[in-house]
Amino acid sequence: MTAAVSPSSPPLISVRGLVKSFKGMRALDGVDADIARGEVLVVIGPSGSGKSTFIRCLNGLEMPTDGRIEVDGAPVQTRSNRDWRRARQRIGMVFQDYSLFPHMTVLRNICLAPQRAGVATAAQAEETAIRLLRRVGLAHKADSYPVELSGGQQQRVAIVRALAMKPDAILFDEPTSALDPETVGEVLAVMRELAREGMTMVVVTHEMGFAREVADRVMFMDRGRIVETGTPAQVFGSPAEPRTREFLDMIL
Amino acid sequence: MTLILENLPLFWTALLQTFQLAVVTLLFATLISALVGLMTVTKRRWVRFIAFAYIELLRDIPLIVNVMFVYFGAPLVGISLDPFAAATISFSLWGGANGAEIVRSGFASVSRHQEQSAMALGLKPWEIFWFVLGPQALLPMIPPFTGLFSLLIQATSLASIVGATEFFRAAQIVVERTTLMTGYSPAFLIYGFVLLVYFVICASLAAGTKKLERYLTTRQSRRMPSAATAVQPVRETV
Repeated sequence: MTAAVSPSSPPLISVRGLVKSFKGMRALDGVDADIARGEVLVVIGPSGSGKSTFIRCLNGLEMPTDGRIEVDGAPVQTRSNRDWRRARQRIGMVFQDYSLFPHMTVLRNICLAPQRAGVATAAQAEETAIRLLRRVGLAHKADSYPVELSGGQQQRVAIVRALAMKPDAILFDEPTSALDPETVGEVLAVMRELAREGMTMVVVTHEMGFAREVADRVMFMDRGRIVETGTPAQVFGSPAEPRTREFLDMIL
Repeated sequence: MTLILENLPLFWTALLQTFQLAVVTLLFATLISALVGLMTVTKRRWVRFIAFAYIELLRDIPLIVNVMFVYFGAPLVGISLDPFAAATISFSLWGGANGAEIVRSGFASVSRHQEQSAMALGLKPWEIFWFVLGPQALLPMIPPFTGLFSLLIQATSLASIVGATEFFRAAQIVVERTTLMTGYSPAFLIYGFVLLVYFVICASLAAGTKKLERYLTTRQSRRMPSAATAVQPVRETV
């Protein structure tokens, strides 16, 4: 919550003029954004506003049609699969539907990528995995398969899987939207804890309570554009744009 | 019964021919299935086109025509094939086309999100294929492949039409010879015996793969454990 953002340090992720078209339809229409190290940016907006497309462009799951993306000052060649792979090893992602690998145990789910990427040896990866699992209260599930876990548990494992790569930032694409209401809290608790530890996070969510409490900045998007960005107090308290006010009135 | 015993040596060598034909065919059909099947899931459009053209072409021709075509067509391009070779080639090509379709749908059955989530972890394309998509695609391929194998084993009897002395052909020979010699046709008895043998072979294959499938299923834990899926008290120790 306390933005450890010094204005001199370059942003961890910098986006300029980002455009993404799907068959002539502009899902993103010229988005500029900077995400500072340690910052929690929460992206809100109506469905179809381009918020998911926005964060999926940040790790190249959607190839931007136009625009520039820099990670830690280094431009990502958006057509280069190798560049994207490197960027993805530094920017983790958590999906709405958890997307754990169903044929692997929890432990193997977590250890696969760090081992393959050479981030850790098998022993190190397992040690890290167990330590992280313990933190989210799931150490006893290390040898279980995803199907044996509840949605909330699976999503916590998915967060641990992203963390195991020791990423610089984690993108959350509606991480609680597919969860039963009673398990939303346990996932948000983990995310809150991550934010407190200074993890850089970009979170697309409909959880306005979480946004208000945890975000350093809230970005409101509509029709592929950023309508307004500000602190939670600004955006929720006194939105500058009528479109933002309209949206907030509708959902709050 | 004595008729079968009397002709046992003939039946036996013919059965061995059938086995040989089946084993070689299954081997090549599997290889072609894997190769062409993987071609259908690559990103390169022209590779996919070739694969789909092959699959469509071979699946749209009756197998019996295919066998005849290979056997009688080969000499036209200067290759002389014995019946056994012609049958093997023809069955393998046909089995490969059908198997490739099974491989393709196996991969299609894996959720697209799996690939994306593997990509998001920074895995390389071959790692995604080998560790994430491949293992998940394999399991749903087992039942249809069992069916295809069984079909191919049964199809080996078609080799008789180009003159390969396999099991079914041996039965025909026995029936014809006995009819000529004794004046009565043992067709019902002999073909009943043949039917039983094919049934036993294919049924044991099916039983075997059923076991394999069950083994892999428990290993991959698609089992729905009644106790473990029950809601657990949440331990919040974040």
